[in-house]
Amino acid sequence: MEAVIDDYIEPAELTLHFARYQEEVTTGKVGYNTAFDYGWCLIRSRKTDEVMKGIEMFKHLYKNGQQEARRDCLFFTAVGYTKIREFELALECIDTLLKAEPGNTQAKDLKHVIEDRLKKSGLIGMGLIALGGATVVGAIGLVAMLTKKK
Amino acid sequence: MAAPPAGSTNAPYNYNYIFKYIIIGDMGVGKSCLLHQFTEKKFMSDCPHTIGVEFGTRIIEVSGQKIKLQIWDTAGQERFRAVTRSYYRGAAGALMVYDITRRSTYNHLSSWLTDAKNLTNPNTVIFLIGNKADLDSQRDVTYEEAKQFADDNGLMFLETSAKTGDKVEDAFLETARRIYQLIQDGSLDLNAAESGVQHKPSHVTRPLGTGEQPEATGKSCQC
Repeated sequence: MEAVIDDYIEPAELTLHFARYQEEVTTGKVGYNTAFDYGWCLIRSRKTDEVMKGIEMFKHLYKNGQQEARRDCLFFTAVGYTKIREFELALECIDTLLKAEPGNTQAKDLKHVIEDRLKKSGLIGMGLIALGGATVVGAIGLVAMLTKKK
Repeated sequence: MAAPPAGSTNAPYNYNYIFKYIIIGDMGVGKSCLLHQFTEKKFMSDCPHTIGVEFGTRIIEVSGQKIKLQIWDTAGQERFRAVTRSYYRGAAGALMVYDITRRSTYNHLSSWLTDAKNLTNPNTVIFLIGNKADLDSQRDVTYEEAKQFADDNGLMFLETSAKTGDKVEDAFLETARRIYQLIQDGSLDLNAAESGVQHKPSHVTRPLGTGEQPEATGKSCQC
């Protein structure tokens, strides 16, 4: 599952799907599959703004698209959120998917990865706070020492 | 990743080669179950349709060489097909699967083969798999017919059962043996970017065609 999340698309491939999508936008009728394909390519981009665009695309397709493809939209939205480290939002999507398909191992694996990364990012956050605290204490101590010396 | 012991440059790697595989074929032929059987040695019933792609790895041994297989399992549903094509690039092996109890999945092979030939390189080993061989009473495609198709198109061929595990190992291993043979006789250029083969990776281990996440686990197969 990690490999799927951390898989990146060749920019040329993304450009190709963007062109297909854009062509249909200009004709005024975007096919479901064209939008879906482009959304998936966006999710696989290295650029955060493109991943975010992909997330918006799948949210739209979830509401307005084929009923049977809703699970796919939720899954890709969750992958997108995981990529841009919006872990809480990713969990929301994957939990909705798991409510509908409790036995979906792909979704369960993804949830596991999200929780794991959430925990790690929390630990890093706590580490930074601790480090920040230590720096402040150290600075106060230093100031106190310097003041005493005076 | 653990630091390598002093004096050994290959120490972090317990394999000599990486081969990239793809698994393709119609929806419901058992692609994910084959991967799961191969990586986990278990059969999963009630497999939901794969969403997009899945990934699995396993280290095997061919002629005394440890080979890490990085396997991309693609969704068979038509709506994923445009994007799953981008996973074909750089595959050293392609497992093309049909279901021996559903003729339609066999009839679509020429379309899958066209994709496989157009989107991989000329040395990519294509292995035809007739899955669900345990359901012989419901057979819709004879062994002989499929064997003929494989011979006509220069493909390797086996009938397997992801359910019982029969011949599943053989299909993955024979593909690797063939790739290794191509390396040995020089027809497969290891330096070509899209050969689908990496030799003794140095520095960063990452799945072919993916980002910088090191060492994907083998448990990511989906059934």
